[in-house]
Amino acid sequence: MRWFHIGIRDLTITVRDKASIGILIGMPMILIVILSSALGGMSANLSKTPVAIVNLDQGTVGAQVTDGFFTDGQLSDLFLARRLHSPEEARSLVASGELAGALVVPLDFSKRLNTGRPSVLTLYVDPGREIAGTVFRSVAESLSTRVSAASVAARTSAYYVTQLRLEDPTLIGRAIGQAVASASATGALSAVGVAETTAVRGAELSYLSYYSGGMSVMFLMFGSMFGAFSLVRERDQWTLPRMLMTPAARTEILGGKMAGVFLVGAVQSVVLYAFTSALGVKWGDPFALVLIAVSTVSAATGLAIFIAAVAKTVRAVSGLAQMLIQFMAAVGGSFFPVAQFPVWMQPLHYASVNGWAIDAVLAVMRGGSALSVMPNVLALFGIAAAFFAVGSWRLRWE
Amino acid sequence: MSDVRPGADLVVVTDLVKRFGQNAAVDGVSLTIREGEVFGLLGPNGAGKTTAISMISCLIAPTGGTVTVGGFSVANDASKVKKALGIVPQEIALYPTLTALENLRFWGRMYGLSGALLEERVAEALETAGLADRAKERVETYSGGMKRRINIAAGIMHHPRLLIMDEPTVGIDPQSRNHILETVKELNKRGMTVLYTSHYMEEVEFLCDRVAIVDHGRVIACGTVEQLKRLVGDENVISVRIASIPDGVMESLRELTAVDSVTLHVPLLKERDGEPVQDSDVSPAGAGEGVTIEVLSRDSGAVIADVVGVLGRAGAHVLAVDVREPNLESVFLHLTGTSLRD
Repeated sequence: MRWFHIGIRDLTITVRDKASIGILIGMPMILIVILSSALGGMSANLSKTPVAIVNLDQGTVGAQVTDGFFTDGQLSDLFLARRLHSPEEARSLVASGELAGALVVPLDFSKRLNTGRPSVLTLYVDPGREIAGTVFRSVAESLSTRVSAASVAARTSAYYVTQLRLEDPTLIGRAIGQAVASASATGALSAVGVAETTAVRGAELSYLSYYSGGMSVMFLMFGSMFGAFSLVRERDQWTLPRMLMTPAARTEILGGKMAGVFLVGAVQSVVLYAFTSALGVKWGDPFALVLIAVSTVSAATGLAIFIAAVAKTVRAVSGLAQMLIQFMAAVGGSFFPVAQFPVWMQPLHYASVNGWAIDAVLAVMRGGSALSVMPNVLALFGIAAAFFAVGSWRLRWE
Repeated sequence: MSDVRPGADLVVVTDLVKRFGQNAAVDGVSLTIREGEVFGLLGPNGAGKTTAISMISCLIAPTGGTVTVGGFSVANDASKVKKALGIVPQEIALYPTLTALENLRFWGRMYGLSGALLEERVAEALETAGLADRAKERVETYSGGMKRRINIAAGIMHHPRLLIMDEPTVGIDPQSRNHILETVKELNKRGMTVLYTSHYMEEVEFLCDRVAIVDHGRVIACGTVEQLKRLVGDENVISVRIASIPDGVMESLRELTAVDSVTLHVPLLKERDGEPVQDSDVSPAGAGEGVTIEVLSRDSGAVIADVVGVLGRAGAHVLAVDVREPNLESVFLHLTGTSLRD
């Protein structure tokens, strides 16, 4: 049980240090509130909604439908649209949660409309992003209605001009109005239909939820930095060598130091969970969260051992830890959603503890289960094992 | 400490070597520490004392040689050796933001103490340190001397067979230093064997039954303080200051057994007739503040009473008597040509 006493002692020392508590618990609370408020209020959803437009049409109508997402001011405010060339890719990105939706314009869209045949716009929507999905769906339906009406109008005017030889624009206009109204009343305004395909996701996230996850993970990592500090400081102030001269085994001592980081992380997690829950964050399945917390704190603890092994002084620990933690926080999505990164940068988030942890937390917040985040949990345990193995191998005790 | 066998070999160090790269911090040290004694390692800073005790206490592995404590090998039975050891490092190896009580409880637990026994030993250690009334204060608020005392207390709670103290009085006030020296004496009286390293020869002389003088990683001399001093020369100087010198007293003193020589000294007169003079050149008749007789003897303890008796019977008024022995500083100087504090 020596490891337990070492862990409790480290927790006591950390809790007694007001500066540490300020950094590990006060700072994330403040940042969660500031960042989520600054980016559209605490209840605002992540904007803009990321969507994809796939225009396979070779005529002009498809372009008229889709260009609005890039040129129309209102649509640009709502959606972060990007063009894709493959419906499969669009569907896959929606399914992965990277996109909230995708609109696919078929190959012969213009041709069918021009010849009076119905056509179908395909819509992929992530049902987990309820609000964003609804907005995207309504925009798509509105577009289809407009295009259908235009189609009816075009065919009506063509009939009056070519078949009845009417040339009075007022009469033609009235006739078009009656035709569109009639089609609308009978539900026949369906030259363009919207076929919706759902994807896989859960509840929609607010900025508050997002930063609760992102900041919690980042400050768990800072907690690990304090663990690394503690190891190096103990080496310098000779309490670590003194422990080595007691009957305590090295494994017990290292286990105790890890337990200390772990306990500090656990306290952080509980306090931040309570704080953000009080602000209205829905964290999701508690069991899944415990799994994520344990695996994330394990990875952070392994990182602490690694940093303590590589850095020789407290100053070196500070420099190395800040560099590593801030890099991982940046690429892992603690500051901004990974979906807003350039495509080439997005895979980098798998190179960080934060990336795996935040992915998992967000998935659970969207309704994911413990099973669904198991790959992330295993990845985090793998990172923990790798850091720990290298760190304990290279650690200088005396 | 229940199985203490006074006089038995507790620590046996044989040809101990520790190299850091090309530099040999400890270079073939052999010594034996007997159960119940206070053994001193005396040497200047950088002599290899701390490295040697780091190997005895299982902190670092030797490059060569063997160490056994209580019959257990440091290399093969480290856990058994560690249970027998109490360590007081040169550094204040305590947690400054914890109280003395919390620190002692923690270190007691590291030695496997728990429950009522732990509390009993913590109270005992605080009593020994003389800090029971300040036990609930954070160590960071203590003076240097108080920290040193708690540093010692943390090393004795489990009643070790061998207490290793590495320069435990560095940088503290005389009062705390005296307290620590008395504590070491007291612990030794209770049966604890002590390995005490220092570069303060007065402490080593005061505390230690036997001393190993260490320099450049080697033991250059080992024995009791008396044995070591005899390396310089075994004559003590008995110095007697008297108001005036009666006739014939010098001859009487020279006739005493175990007296090797008697010399007369008077206060230095800087000039006589315009020339500087040495005291030996000055006539006793010229002395106004008394004169000093120095008697050299190999057995000053036995001779001193005879010297004072001869002077008394001759009617001399004795103002002061002093016996000057060779000290460990002079031994170190004699053996190495350098001072301990060089």
